[in-house]
Amino acid sequence: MTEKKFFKLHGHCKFVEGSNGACIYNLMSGDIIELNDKFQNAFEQYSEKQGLSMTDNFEVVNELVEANLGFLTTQNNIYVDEVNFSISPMFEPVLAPNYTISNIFLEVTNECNLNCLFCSGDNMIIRSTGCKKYGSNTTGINEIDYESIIEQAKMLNVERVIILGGEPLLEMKKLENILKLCLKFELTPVIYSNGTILFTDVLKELLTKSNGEVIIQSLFNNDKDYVRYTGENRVWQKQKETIDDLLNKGIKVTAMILIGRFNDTMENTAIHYFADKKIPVTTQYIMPYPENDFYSIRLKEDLLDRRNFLSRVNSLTFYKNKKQQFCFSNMLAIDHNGDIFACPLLRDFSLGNVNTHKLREIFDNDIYLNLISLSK
Amino acid sequence: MDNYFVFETINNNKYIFDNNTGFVMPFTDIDEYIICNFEQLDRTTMYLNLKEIFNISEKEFNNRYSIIENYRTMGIWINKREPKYITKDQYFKKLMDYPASQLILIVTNECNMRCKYCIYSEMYPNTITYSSKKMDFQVAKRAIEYYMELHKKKVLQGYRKAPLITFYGGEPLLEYKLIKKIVQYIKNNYENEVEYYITTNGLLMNEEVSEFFLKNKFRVTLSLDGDKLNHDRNRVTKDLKGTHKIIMKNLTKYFEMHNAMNKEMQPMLSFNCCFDDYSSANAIIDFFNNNSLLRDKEFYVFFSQINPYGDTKYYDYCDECAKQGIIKSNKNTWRMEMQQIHDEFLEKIKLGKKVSMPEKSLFASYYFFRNRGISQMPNTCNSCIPGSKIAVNAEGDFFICERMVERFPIGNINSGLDWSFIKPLFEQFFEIVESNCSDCKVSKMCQLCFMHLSFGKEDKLEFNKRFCETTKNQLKELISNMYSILEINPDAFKEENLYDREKIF
Repeated sequence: MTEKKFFKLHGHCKFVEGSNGACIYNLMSGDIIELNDKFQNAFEQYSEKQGLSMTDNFEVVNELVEANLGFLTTQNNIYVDEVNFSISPMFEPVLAPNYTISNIFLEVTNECNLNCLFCSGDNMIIRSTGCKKYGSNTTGINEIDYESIIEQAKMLNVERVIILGGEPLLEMKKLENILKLCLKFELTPVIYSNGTILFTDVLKELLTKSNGEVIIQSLFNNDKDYVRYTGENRVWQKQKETIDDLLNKGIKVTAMILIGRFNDTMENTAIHYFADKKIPVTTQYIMPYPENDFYSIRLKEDLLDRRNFLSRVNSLTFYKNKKQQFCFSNMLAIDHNGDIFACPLLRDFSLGNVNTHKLREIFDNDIYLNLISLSK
Repeated sequence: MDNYFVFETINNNKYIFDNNTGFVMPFTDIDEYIICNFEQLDRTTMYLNLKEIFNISEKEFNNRYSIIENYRTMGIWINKREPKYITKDQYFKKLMDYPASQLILIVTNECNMRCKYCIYSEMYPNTITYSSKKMDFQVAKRAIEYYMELHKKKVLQGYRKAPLITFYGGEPLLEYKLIKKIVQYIKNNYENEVEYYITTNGLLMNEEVSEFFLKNKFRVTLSLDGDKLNHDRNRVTKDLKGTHKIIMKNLTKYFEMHNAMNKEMQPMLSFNCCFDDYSSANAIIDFFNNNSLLRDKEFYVFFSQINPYGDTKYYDYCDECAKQGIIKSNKNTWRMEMQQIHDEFLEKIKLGKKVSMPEKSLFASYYFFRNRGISQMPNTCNSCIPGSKIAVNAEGDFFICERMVERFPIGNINSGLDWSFIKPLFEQFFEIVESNCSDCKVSKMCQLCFMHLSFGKEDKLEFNKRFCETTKNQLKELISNMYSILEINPDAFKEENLYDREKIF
């Protein structure tokens, strides 16, 4: 008589059931494995204690073992610990680690030298981080003490200072000041730029010394398309000059191509140019919501499918994300007037102003607490 | 050196405990081979050997190997420790990041009781004794100013919790007027919400004091050794009279006052219950479970074995009392009764039955272990670091802990935390850990702290062999017991609210 076998998930594999389906998170590889009906039915019988009977679920179990999501045992009572690197809820009140954030976003201006057709001064979110002309709810320009902000950020364990616009290079002096401060406090600066304004020697030197990075936001690989969409001449030529100049100085450059219906076949993007120069490329998309004339109709279905935008998780972030919204809890953003936000895209919820609030005070703000509790 | 150990449950299942991170995994002979030979053999050789020994398929080997390889990248099964040294800058950074902060004001060394096991008593000939030293308000004020400044710095670095000020003695309520003055001073001078905590013997906890505690949301730990017999055996007044009756009377008033003031909120009360070999565990548990005053109340009990370490005559005194018939129980009473209570407790947990809070308190180590963090152990082990707590004596000297007062200073109200005092303490601590704990397979779970090393005669930290041996044995047994239970009830000990430690510490 053959021994009865049971399947149990590995400690780093978590079965999660939601209202629209179920999946297994592999916290080692970061994979999220969506389960079809056959698997979901089988997992209705799965329990931490009993596992799954091999006899009753032969096909499903074989596939799960094949995918290395669990193991077979003849002892159904074996207990499998979670590979959970977060603090247990029981100890959270006692061992509450300090509030920390990794990134601070500084929008040094909301002005831009380009006039992209799809970019307006509203606050609607149509894509992820990058340049955008945001409207401002505040009047007048506040003087901002960047030294104080960066010193506070350092104390909160910030690693990267991400400088945004509009176009940040329109504010050369501010930018220079911030880069000097990054150097002083040993933080890594990252600048988003459209690449049409050359970096000064001082900026380049500061970027080199602080191991900084420039992210060039790109649309096209030719001046003609740029003229049509930005109203400016020689944008592509200027971008190339800027990129070459930065690369010559050994400064890390990344390209971010914004995809809309104007370039969604990728034929008129600079992807090959960047590949030839060994420049890493990421893509961002103009989203279909709110309704607009620029998102890619061809990609609409993919853009609306949240599965295409899932981020990978591991044994620390999976448990952390269950408690805290992973994005908001890892950053703060400050606009050109000093208003503080949980995210550079979330302009409707001001959490305070750097002239009246310490960054640390934001963590006790009710809006902030609500935002970070928007956990999945 | 291997930094893990293999244990078996009652069902003969094998598990491996990783001492670097605290992670436990079911364990097969194949896993054992891969883990043990990971650094010695290349992958192909390992596979060929395993194929020969266990007839393992390549797919199965690759699956197991990749898991072990990945777990190792997370620090599991590798002997990786933080360096055993700390610079001044690293210390102050660590202090800022440390998730606790507390100022302990030893407001007096005087006590209105003469507990037999008190560290100030003649049972501990080599430690300090009772004295009339009292804290002056100015000393308290300077200590508070220093502490609040330190707390402010911590907050700017992301610290989450409110300042916590603890009153300790001797018997702190002998200085009730000073305590009131301090609380008022804080109210007048600081905007922060400050939390207060007091450990008291309860003799002076009259209506006025109870009202003051409740109004100011004091967390109170009351020393009460359970039933009258066990309590009155040791906890006596200066004229050797038992104190159980008066404390229960004061406790009644406290609860009445609480009911009158705020019925909605549970009182923030816990008990400190000391026991020795002769104590009846049954009687103590029965008291906390069934006493009419305590029934239906939420409270935690800190069960503390009367300190057997260091140079104490207390246990000889107990033996003598037993010989003379003053103590009626025998030397095995606690051990034997505990064995039975322990078995019954595990049986209830196994079956998912309800257990009382005092029982949970008594076996808190199961809950601590079950809810342990999986992470690399810091070089200071599980100990507080000097300065995370600051205990201040009447002269304004700073000490690591309220249980280490008058020895091992770490600064004072004038100079603040003083690295020149703290550095040698760290060095001694690291040296002891390096020499004695490097090959320990359960050090991740050990509660060793500076206090455990402070019982030597010299003014130097000293390895505590007895603590070490007892802890090692207890932890290994506890781990095996716990996984035997988890195999039957995977939800066992998974309490999110064993008690609100926030309210206690």
